[in-house]
Amino acid sequence: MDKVSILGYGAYVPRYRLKIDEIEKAWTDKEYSTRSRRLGVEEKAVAGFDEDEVTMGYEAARNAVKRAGIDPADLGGIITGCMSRRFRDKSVSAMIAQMLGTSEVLACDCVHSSKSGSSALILGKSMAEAGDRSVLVIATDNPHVAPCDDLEPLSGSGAVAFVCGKGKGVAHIEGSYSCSREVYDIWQPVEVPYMYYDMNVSRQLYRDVTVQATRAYMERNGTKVDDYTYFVLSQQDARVPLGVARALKIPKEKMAAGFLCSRIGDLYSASALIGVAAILDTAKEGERILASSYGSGGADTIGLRVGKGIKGRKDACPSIEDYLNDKVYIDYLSFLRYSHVI
Amino acid sequence: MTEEYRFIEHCAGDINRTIPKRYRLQGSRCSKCGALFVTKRLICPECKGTDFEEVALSGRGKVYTYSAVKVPLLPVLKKGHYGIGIIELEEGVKAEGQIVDIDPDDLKVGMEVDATIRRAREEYPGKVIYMYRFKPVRR
Repeated sequence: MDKVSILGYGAYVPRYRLKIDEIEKAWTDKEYSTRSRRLGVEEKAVAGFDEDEVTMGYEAARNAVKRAGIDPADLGGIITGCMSRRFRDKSVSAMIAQMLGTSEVLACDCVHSSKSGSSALILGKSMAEAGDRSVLVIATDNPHVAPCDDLEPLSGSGAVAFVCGKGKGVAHIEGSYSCSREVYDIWQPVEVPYMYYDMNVSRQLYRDVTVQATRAYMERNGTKVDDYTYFVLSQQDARVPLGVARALKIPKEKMAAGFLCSRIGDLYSASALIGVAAILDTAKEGERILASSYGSGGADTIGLRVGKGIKGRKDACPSIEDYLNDKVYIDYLSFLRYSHVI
Repeated sequence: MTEEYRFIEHCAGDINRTIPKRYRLQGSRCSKCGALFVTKRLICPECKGTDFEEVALSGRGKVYTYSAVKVPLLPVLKKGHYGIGIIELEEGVKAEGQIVDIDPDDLKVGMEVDATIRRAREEYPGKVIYMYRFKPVRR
């Protein structure tokens, strides 16, 4: 059986940024203000008035397909990981398939968890391994958070996409390990418009499960922290992932390249994977990446090795740094308008 | 259904029928004389031919002319000022569309743009209509 690689990757970060100071100015509650500062997020990416998870996913997918150098009509599957999807009964993947110009494709969504992006990648890899056509995996999120909620300063918007297929790729997927527990940390009953959130439970379980999945992956594959050049963890905020890194004895410098939370916020299903894309923008052949994504009490750890195909594909479309540097600051009122709250 | 939705419904036509045009800027080429059009045609104005083939346009081009809209056409658009322009595509034909991701006062003739897809409007609650837009090429 041929090895499956990531043939192309792409990302999209909207250009609007909201500084956390703006949120604090709107909500002058002292406790709220101190809390958001302590979590280390400076600003977050905000989807424009005419953007949502579908348009952002499309942009990322278009970049990934362009980097992979394939025709969208050759895709065998499109799997989209999206936690904040607006529709209960409409496929985001099918919409993106139509936008890319293909219809003879298996389009399915991986939903209801902030690790749905990494789960989609694991499924996409397996699907590409079993079949003979490439699979497009998208992780996109545009979370709807209640104003003045604890999550408001942390939740960002953005998307990332990967094309999994056989051939000389930008990175080879070495393996994955997942674990899952039952918990109420972020949940949203169907009749309410916003998510409920229990910060303490979420932080505790995030630590436990991420450490468990990452250690188990390394033990099973006989690897150590020193074997990896880069580590990426789910970035719920800019503080807790560093605590997990300390527990796993991961040096700070190995986390730096994929650590984007303080600049764009938590992208939920795309949180860890956009870090992987940022690393691929600068990585060299042979370097190894270990990414761990957390959501709804579970964690997916994925090991990657940068391949020969990385040469010449980086410049095919804008890098993450290009998207991060192209920004326009907005005030809190514009943010509410762009989020369709008012 | 509100008056606003009724008006939009009348304008929208068949949502599924317009997908190739709205998502992928699908044009048509006259099989007889090769003339290219951004829209679907029934009769070629050049040779009066009636046989057309569908062509997916690249979406890349340059701003031919533009206008900054300060007052939106319909209150339902709920949008502030935005840029709208005629884009001369690589294929040589001109397409009209909104130019996003840029302050309309910063628009310039000759600026390189690329097609993307954005939310255009919402028909009935939750039924989002997406439409191609143009955005400046940043690299």
